Amino acid sequence: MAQEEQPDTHVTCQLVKHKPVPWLYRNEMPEPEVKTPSQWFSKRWPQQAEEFGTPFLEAVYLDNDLEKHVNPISMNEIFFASILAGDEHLGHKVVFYTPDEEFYFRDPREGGIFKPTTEPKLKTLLSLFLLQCAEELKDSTPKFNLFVRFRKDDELQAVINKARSLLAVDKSFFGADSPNIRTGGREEGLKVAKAFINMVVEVNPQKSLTLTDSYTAFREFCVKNGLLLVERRHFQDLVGEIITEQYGLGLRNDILNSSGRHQRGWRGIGMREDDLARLGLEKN
Amino acid sequence: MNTQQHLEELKVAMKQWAESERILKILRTETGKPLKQPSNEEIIQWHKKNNQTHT
Repeated sequence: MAQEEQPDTHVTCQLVKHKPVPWLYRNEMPEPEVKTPSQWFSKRWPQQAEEFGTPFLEAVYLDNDLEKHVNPISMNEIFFASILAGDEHLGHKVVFYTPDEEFYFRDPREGGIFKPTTEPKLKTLLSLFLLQCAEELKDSTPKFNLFVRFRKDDELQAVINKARSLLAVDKSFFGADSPNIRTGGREEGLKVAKAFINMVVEVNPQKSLTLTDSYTAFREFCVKNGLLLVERRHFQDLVGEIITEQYGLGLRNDILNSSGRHQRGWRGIGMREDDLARLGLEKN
Repeated sequence: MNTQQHLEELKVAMKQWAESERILKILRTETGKPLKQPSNEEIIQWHKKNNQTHT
Protein backbone atom coordinates (compact mmCIF):
# COMPACT_ATOMS: atom_id res chain seq x y z
CA MET A 1 0.00 0.00 0.00
CA ALA A 2 1.44 3.35 -0.99
CA GLN A 3 1.63 6.14 1.54
CA GLU A 4 -0.85 8.95 0.86
CA GLU A 5 0.43 11.86 -1.15
CA GLN A 6 1.39 14.76 1.03
CA PRO A 7 2.97 17.73 -0.84
CA ASP A 8 5.98 19.05 1.02
CA THR A 9 5.01 22.65 0.35
CA HIS A 10 2.47 24.53 2.46
CA VAL A 11 2.55 21.88 5.16
CA THR A 12 2.05 23.03 8.72
CA CYS A 13 1.81 21.06 11.94
CA GLN A 14 -0.86 21.31 14.59
CA LEU A 15 -1.80 20.07 18.04
CA VAL A 16 -5.55 20.63 18.12
CA LYS A 17 -8.02 18.96 20.48
CA HIS A 18 -11.80 18.75 20.34
CA LYS A 19 -13.42 21.83 21.87
CA PRO A 20 -16.81 21.02 23.35
CA VAL A 21 -19.59 23.60 23.44
CA PRO A 22 -19.36 25.50 26.75
CA TRP A 23 -21.72 24.06 29.31
CA LEU A 24 -23.80 27.28 29.41
CA TYR A 25 -24.60 27.09 25.66
CA ARG A 26 -24.89 23.36 25.26
CA ASN A 27 -28.67 23.52 24.66
CA GLU A 28 -28.45 26.28 22.05
CA MET A 29 -25.33 25.37 20.08
CA PRO A 30 -24.68 22.12 18.20
CA GLU A 31 -21.56 20.08 19.05
CA PRO A 32 -18.74 21.00 16.63
CA GLU A 33 -18.09 18.41 13.95
CA VAL A 34 -15.19 16.04 14.60
CA LYS A 35 -12.85 16.42 11.63
CA THR A 36 -9.45 15.14 12.73
CA PRO A 37 -8.07 12.06 14.52
CA SER A 38 -6.97 14.19 17.49
CA GLN A 39 -10.48 15.59 17.79
CA TRP A 40 -11.99 12.11 17.58
CA PHE A 41 -9.84 10.77 20.41
CA SER A 42 -10.04 13.88 22.60
CA LYS A 43 -13.83 13.98 22.27
CA ARG A 44 -14.07 10.41 23.48
CA TRP A 45 -11.42 10.80 26.25
CA PRO A 46 -11.61 14.53 27.14
CA GLN A 47 -10.15 14.20 30.62
CA GLN A 48 -7.11 12.26 29.39
CA ALA A 49 -6.51 14.79 26.58
CA GLU A 50 -6.70 17.58 29.15
CA GLU A 51 -4.24 15.86 31.43
CA PHE A 52 -1.86 14.13 29.01
CA GLY A 53 -2.08 16.32 25.91
CA THR A 54 -3.25 16.19 22.31
CA PRO A 55 -3.44 12.63 20.95
CA PHE A 56 -1.54 13.26 17.67
CA LEU A 57 0.83 15.71 16.08
CA GLU A 58 -0.92 16.39 12.76
CA ALA A 59 0.30 17.69 9.42
CA VAL A 60 -2.08 20.10 7.65
CA TYR A 61 -1.91 20.65 3.91
CA LEU A 62 -4.02 21.68 0.92
CA ASP A 63 -4.37 19.42 -2.12
CA ASN A 64 -4.46 20.59 -5.72
CA ASP A 65 -8.19 21.40 -5.38
CA LEU A 66 -7.38 23.47 -2.28
CA GLU A 67 -9.14 20.98 -0.05
CA LYS A 68 -7.65 20.84 3.46
CA HIS A 69 -6.37 17.52 4.82
CA VAL A 70 -5.18 16.69 8.32
CA ASN A 71 -2.82 13.74 8.55
CA PRO A 72 -1.75 12.36 11.95
CA ILE A 73 2.02 11.92 11.81
CA SER A 74 3.07 11.12 15.38
CA MET A 75 1.32 9.58 18.38
CA ASN A 76 1.34 11.06 21.86
CA GLU A 77 2.24 7.82 23.63
CA ILE A 78 1.33 9.12 27.08
CA PHE A 79 -2.22 9.99 26.00
CA PHE A 80 -2.70 6.52 24.48
CA ALA A 81 -1.25 4.83 27.57
CA SER A 82 -3.71 6.81 29.70
CA ILE A 83 -6.76 5.66 27.74
CA LEU A 84 -5.76 2.05 28.43
CA ALA A 85 -6.54 2.75 32.10
CA GLY A 86 -10.18 2.10 31.16
CA ASP A 87 -13.40 4.09 31.22
CA GLU A 88 -14.56 4.37 34.82
CA HIS A 89 -18.06 5.28 33.57
CA LEU A 90 -18.24 1.66 32.41
CA GLY A 91 -16.75 0.37 35.66
CA HIS A 92 -13.48 -0.50 33.88
CA LYS A 93 -9.99 -0.15 35.30
CA VAL A 94 -6.62 -1.47 34.11
CA VAL A 95 -3.54 -1.46 36.33
CA PHE A 96 0.04 -2.66 36.04
CA TYR A 97 0.84 -4.62 39.22
CA THR A 98 4.55 -4.06 39.72
CA PRO A 99 5.35 -6.99 42.11
CA ASP A 100 4.30 -9.52 39.43
CA GLU A 101 4.97 -7.24 36.41
CA GLU A 102 1.52 -8.06 35.11
CA PHE A 103 -1.47 -6.07 33.80
CA TYR A 104 -4.84 -6.64 35.51
CA PHE A 105 -8.30 -5.42 34.50
CA ARG A 106 -11.44 -5.10 36.64
CA ASP A 107 -14.28 -7.23 35.37
CA PRO A 108 -17.67 -5.72 36.34
CA ARG A 109 -19.39 -8.91 35.18
CA GLU A 110 -17.71 -10.86 37.99
CA GLY A 111 -18.25 -8.64 40.99
CA GLY A 112 -15.51 -6.17 40.08
CA ILE A 113 -12.76 -8.72 40.62
CA PHE A 114 -9.41 -7.96 38.92
CA LYS A 115 -8.18 -10.53 36.42
CA PRO A 116 -4.85 -10.75 34.64
CA THR A 117 -4.63 -9.68 31.02
CA THR A 118 -1.76 -9.66 28.54
CA GLU A 119 0.18 -7.06 26.59
CA PRO A 120 -0.98 -8.50 23.23
CA LYS A 121 -4.60 -8.07 24.37
CA LEU A 122 -3.99 -4.43 25.32
CA LYS A 123 -2.35 -3.88 21.92
CA THR A 124 -5.41 -5.36 20.21
CA LEU A 125 -7.67 -2.99 22.14
CA LEU A 126 -5.55 0.02 21.16
CA SER A 127 -5.46 -1.18 17.58
CA LEU A 128 -9.27 -1.39 17.55
CA PHE A 129 -9.62 2.17 18.87
CA LEU A 130 -7.38 3.39 16.01
CA LEU A 131 -9.40 1.40 13.49
CA GLN A 132 -12.67 2.77 14.85
CA CYS A 133 -11.30 6.32 14.51
CA ALA A 134 -10.20 5.66 10.90
CA GLU A 135 -13.60 4.22 10.02
CA GLU A 136 -15.65 7.01 11.55
CA LEU A 137 -13.76 9.99 10.13
CA LYS A 138 -14.63 11.43 6.71
CA ASP A 139 -12.89 10.05 3.61
CA SER A 140 -10.91 13.27 3.17
CA THR A 141 -8.87 12.35 6.28
CA PRO A 142 -5.69 10.49 5.28
CA LYS A 143 -6.12 7.01 6.75
CA PHE A 144 -2.78 5.32 6.04
CA ASN A 145 -1.08 6.19 9.34
CA LEU A 146 -4.18 5.39 11.37
CA PHE A 147 -4.80 2.08 9.68
CA VAL A 148 -1.25 0.85 9.04
CA ARG A 149 1.59 2.73 10.71
CA PHE A 150 0.23 3.35 14.19
CA ARG A 151 -1.16 -0.21 14.40
CA LYS A 152 2.26 -1.76 13.84
CA ASP A 153 3.67 -3.69 16.77
CA ASP A 154 6.56 -1.31 17.53
CA GLU A 155 4.22 1.71 17.78
CA LEU A 156 1.79 -0.19 20.00
CA GLN A 157 4.62 -1.59 22.15
CA ALA A 158 5.85 1.96 22.82
CA VAL A 159 2.41 2.80 24.23
CA ILE A 160 2.39 -0.37 26.36
CA ASN A 161 5.83 0.53 27.74
CA LYS A 162 4.48 3.91 28.83
CA ALA A 163 1.41 2.24 30.33
CA ARG A 164 3.63 0.06 32.51
CA SER A 165 4.75 3.16 34.38
CA LEU A 166 1.60 5.28 34.05
CA LEU A 167 -0.75 2.58 35.35
CA ALA A 168 1.68 1.14 37.93
CA VAL A 169 0.32 0.06 41.32
CA ASP A 170 2.30 -1.42 44.20
CA LYS A 171 1.81 -4.43 46.47
CA SER A 172 -0.74 -2.66 48.68
CA PHE A 173 -3.20 -2.38 45.75
CA PHE A 174 -4.10 -6.04 46.26
CA GLY A 175 -3.09 -6.13 49.93
CA ALA A 176 -5.11 -8.13 52.46
CA ASP A 177 -6.69 -4.90 53.75
CA SER A 178 -7.40 -3.44 50.30
CA PRO A 179 -10.91 -3.50 48.77
CA ASN A 180 -9.36 -4.63 45.46
CA ILE A 181 -9.47 -8.36 44.87
CA ARG A 182 -7.69 -10.28 42.13
CA THR A 183 -8.12 -13.86 41.03
CA GLY A 184 -5.65 -16.38 42.37
CA GLY A 185 -3.47 -13.98 44.35
CA ARG A 186 -1.91 -14.91 47.72
CA GLU A 187 -3.95 -12.21 49.46
CA GLU A 188 -7.20 -13.90 48.36
CA GLY A 189 -6.17 -17.00 50.29
CA LEU A 190 -5.08 -14.83 53.21
CA LYS A 191 -8.51 -13.15 53.38
CA VAL A 192 -10.33 -16.49 53.34
CA ALA A 193 -8.02 -17.98 55.98
CA LYS A 194 -8.44 -14.88 58.19
CA ALA A 195 -12.22 -15.07 57.93
CA PHE A 196 -12.13 -18.77 58.86
CA ILE A 197 -9.91 -18.23 61.90
CA ASN A 198 -11.99 -15.30 63.16
CA MET A 199 -15.13 -17.38 62.85
CA VAL A 200 -14.07 -20.66 64.47
CA VAL A 201 -10.88 -20.22 66.50
CA GLU A 202 -10.94 -19.19 70.17
CA VAL A 203 -8.25 -18.55 72.76
CA ASN A 204 -8.41 -21.21 75.45
CA PRO A 205 -5.36 -22.26 77.50
CA GLN A 206 -6.89 -25.72 78.00
CA LYS A 207 -7.23 -26.41 74.30
CA SER A 208 -4.90 -27.23 71.45
CA LEU A 209 -5.35 -27.36 67.71
CA THR A 210 -3.54 -29.57 65.22
CA LEU A 211 -2.69 -28.40 61.74
CA THR A 212 -4.47 -31.45 60.31
CA ASP A 213 -7.74 -30.74 62.16
CA SER A 214 -7.69 -27.06 61.25
CA TYR A 215 -7.05 -27.86 57.57
CA THR A 216 -9.84 -30.45 57.49
CA ALA A 217 -12.34 -27.90 58.85
CA PHE A 218 -10.95 -25.18 56.58
CA ARG A 219 -11.29 -27.36 53.48
CA GLU A 220 -14.93 -28.08 54.33
CA PHE A 221 -15.55 -24.38 55.03
CA CYS A 222 -14.17 -23.43 51.57
CA VAL A 223 -16.08 -26.12 49.71
CA LYS A 224 -19.39 -25.28 51.45
CA ASN A 225 -19.00 -21.56 50.76
CA GLY A 226 -17.58 -21.83 47.24
CA LEU A 227 -14.32 -20.14 48.30
CA LEU A 228 -10.82 -20.48 46.92
CA LEU A 229 -9.22 -23.51 48.53
CA VAL A 230 -5.64 -22.94 49.60
CA GLU A 231 -3.41 -26.00 49.23
CA ARG A 232 -2.24 -27.55 52.49
CA ARG A 233 1.42 -26.61 51.98
CA HIS A 234 0.39 -22.93 51.62
CA PHE A 235 -2.24 -23.18 54.38
CA GLN A 236 0.43 -23.87 56.98
CA ASP A 237 2.31 -20.66 56.11
CA LEU A 238 -0.82 -18.52 55.79
CA VAL A 239 -2.48 -19.69 59.00
CA GLY A 240 0.82 -19.74 60.88
CA GLU A 241 1.32 -16.08 59.94
CA ILE A 242 -2.22 -15.09 61.00
CA ILE A 243 -2.12 -16.98 64.32
CA THR A 244 1.26 -15.51 65.22
CA GLU A 245 -0.03 -12.03 64.37
CA GLN A 246 -3.38 -12.36 66.18
CA TYR A 247 -2.55 -14.60 69.14
CA GLY A 248 1.24 -14.44 69.39
CA LEU A 249 1.48 -18.27 69.15
CA GLY A 250 4.00 -20.22 67.12
CA LEU A 251 3.56 -23.56 65.38
CA ARG A 252 4.96 -26.45 67.45
CA ASN A 253 5.52 -30.18 66.96
CA ASP A 254 4.24 -31.62 70.27
CA ILE A 255 0.46 -31.38 70.00
CA LEU A 256 -1.28 -34.65 70.72
CA ASN A 257 -4.02 -35.72 68.36
CA SER A 258 -7.01 -37.93 69.19
CA SER A 259 -4.87 -41.07 68.73
CA GLY A 260 -2.26 -39.76 71.15
CA ARG A 261 0.37 -39.07 68.47
CA HIS A 262 2.47 -35.93 68.28
CA GLN A 263 1.45 -33.56 65.53
CA ARG A 264 2.17 -30.03 64.37
CA GLY A 265 -0.20 -27.41 65.77
CA TRP A 266 -0.82 -24.74 68.38
CA ARG A 267 -1.35 -24.87 72.13
CA GLY A 268 -3.64 -22.28 73.75
CA ILE A 269 -6.21 -22.07 70.96
CA GLY A 270 -8.97 -24.36 69.76
CA MET A 271 -12.03 -24.47 67.57
CA ARG A 272 -15.35 -23.25 68.94
CA GLU A 273 -17.64 -26.22 68.62
CA ASP A 274 -20.85 -24.16 68.57
CA ASP A 275 -19.52 -22.11 65.61
CA LEU A 276 -18.38 -25.22 63.79
CA ALA A 277 -21.89 -26.59 64.13
CA ARG A 278 -23.45 -23.28 63.06
CA LEU A 279 -21.32 -23.29 59.89
CA GLY A 280 -22.26 -26.90 59.24
CA LEU A 281 -18.66 -28.10 59.72
CA GLU A 282 -17.83 -31.33 61.41
CA LYS A 283 -15.13 -31.63 64.01
CA ASN A 284 -12.60 -34.24 63.01
CA MET B 1 -41.53 5.84 35.76
CA ASN B 2 -43.73 5.22 32.69
CA THR B 3 -43.09 2.58 30.05
CA GLN B 4 -41.64 5.05 27.55
CA GLN B 5 -39.10 6.37 30.08
CA HIS B 6 -38.23 2.83 31.10
CA LEU B 7 -37.61 1.90 27.46
CA GLU B 8 -35.43 4.96 26.92
CA GLU B 9 -33.39 4.13 30.00
CA LEU B 10 -33.01 0.54 28.89
CA LYS B 11 -31.85 1.69 25.44
CA VAL B 12 -29.09 3.87 26.92
CA ALA B 13 -28.06 1.19 29.41
CA MET B 14 -27.95 -1.50 26.69
CA LYS B 15 -25.75 0.72 24.51
CA GLN B 16 -23.28 1.24 27.36
CA TRP B 17 -23.38 -2.44 28.24
CA ALA B 18 -22.55 -3.40 24.65
CA GLU B 19 -19.64 -0.94 24.61
CA SER B 20 -18.37 -2.31 27.92
CA GLU B 21 -18.63 -5.91 26.75
CA ARG B 22 -16.86 -5.12 23.46
CA ILE B 23 -13.82 -3.96 25.43
CA LEU B 24 -13.94 -6.65 28.13
CA LYS B 25 -14.22 -9.39 25.55
CA ILE B 26 -10.78 -8.40 24.28
CA LEU B 27 -9.20 -8.20 27.73
CA ARG B 28 -10.65 -11.44 29.08
CA THR B 29 -9.19 -14.88 28.64
CA GLU B 30 -12.01 -17.27 27.96
CA THR B 31 -12.62 -19.92 30.58
CA GLY B 32 -14.68 -23.09 30.53
CA LYS B 33 -17.32 -21.42 32.68
CA PRO B 34 -19.80 -19.40 30.56
CA LEU B 35 -20.76 -15.96 31.85
CA LYS B 36 -24.35 -15.55 32.96
CA GLN B 37 -26.42 -13.38 30.63
CA PRO B 38 -27.82 -10.52 32.74
CA SER B 39 -31.49 -9.54 32.68
CA ASN B 40 -32.64 -6.12 31.41
CA GLU B 41 -33.21 -5.04 35.00
CA GLU B 42 -29.64 -6.02 35.98
CA ILE B 43 -28.28 -3.99 33.05
CA ILE B 44 -30.29 -0.93 34.14
CA GLN B 45 -29.02 -1.32 37.71
CA TRP B 46 -25.42 -1.62 36.46
CA HIS B 47 -25.88 1.55 34.39
CA LYS B 48 -27.43 3.45 37.34
CA LYS B 49 -24.59 2.39 39.62
CA ASN B 50 -21.95 3.63 37.16
CA ASN B 51 -23.77 6.93 36.73
CA GLN B 52 -24.09 7.47 40.47
CA THR B 53 -20.38 6.80 40.98
CA HIS B 54 -19.33 9.27 38.30
CA THR B 55 -21.71 12.22 38.55
